[in-house]
Amino acid sequence: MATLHQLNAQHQLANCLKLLAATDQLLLIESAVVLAIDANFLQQLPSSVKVLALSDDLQARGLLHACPAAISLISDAQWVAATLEADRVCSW
Amino acid sequence: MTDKSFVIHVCGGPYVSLAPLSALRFTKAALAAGHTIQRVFFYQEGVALANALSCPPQDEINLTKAWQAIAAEHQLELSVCVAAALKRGIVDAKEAARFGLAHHNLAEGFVLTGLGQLVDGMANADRTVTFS
Repeated sequence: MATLHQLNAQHQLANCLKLLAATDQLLLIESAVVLAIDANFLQQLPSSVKVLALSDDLQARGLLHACPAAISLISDAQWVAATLEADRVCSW
Repeated sequence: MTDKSFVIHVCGGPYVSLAPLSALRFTKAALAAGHTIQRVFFYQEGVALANALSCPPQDEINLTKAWQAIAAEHQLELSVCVAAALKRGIVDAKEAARFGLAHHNLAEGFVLTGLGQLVDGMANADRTVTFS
């Protein structure tokens, strides 16, 4: 039972990490997309966790080209699909 | 992917969070993909979207009108938690009469409901997505 964790604020990451299972996905939205340029961010996650980020939210903050390849950029349409591919969505 | 149903749960208010705008984007994308929005439920600070008296500058998005427009186009239910609304001064004509208030300000297209509507939606929709 995989959960899509929808994170919209950096300060919620520590709480999210406590419940993030190896099979889960982590989606960065709104101001949480700045985590994409944090050098320590990905190292804190289980390596099997797929990390997604809303492309439009990165672009709005001028971070689109700074986003590492390990983070999958997704459109709003793919966002909707991701919520259906997971068994549930947890918004932080 | 076959047609799925969503409850959109908006807890964050305009100008203090991006929740109303993110929820609007998600709703538009879901509808564009052929999915159904069973209900939009405004709760906590999100009820501020139902204030008909908010007057944002003309060069900013008017989120209340944006939600009214998409609701009218797709016959969406815009449910507003009555308790959260009343304590923030958002009332319809019926509640204004009940509390002896001189005015009411619930925006057209929004309806005051109870938390039961959220629970009903969560029980019946394929996914509930919360925006805080």
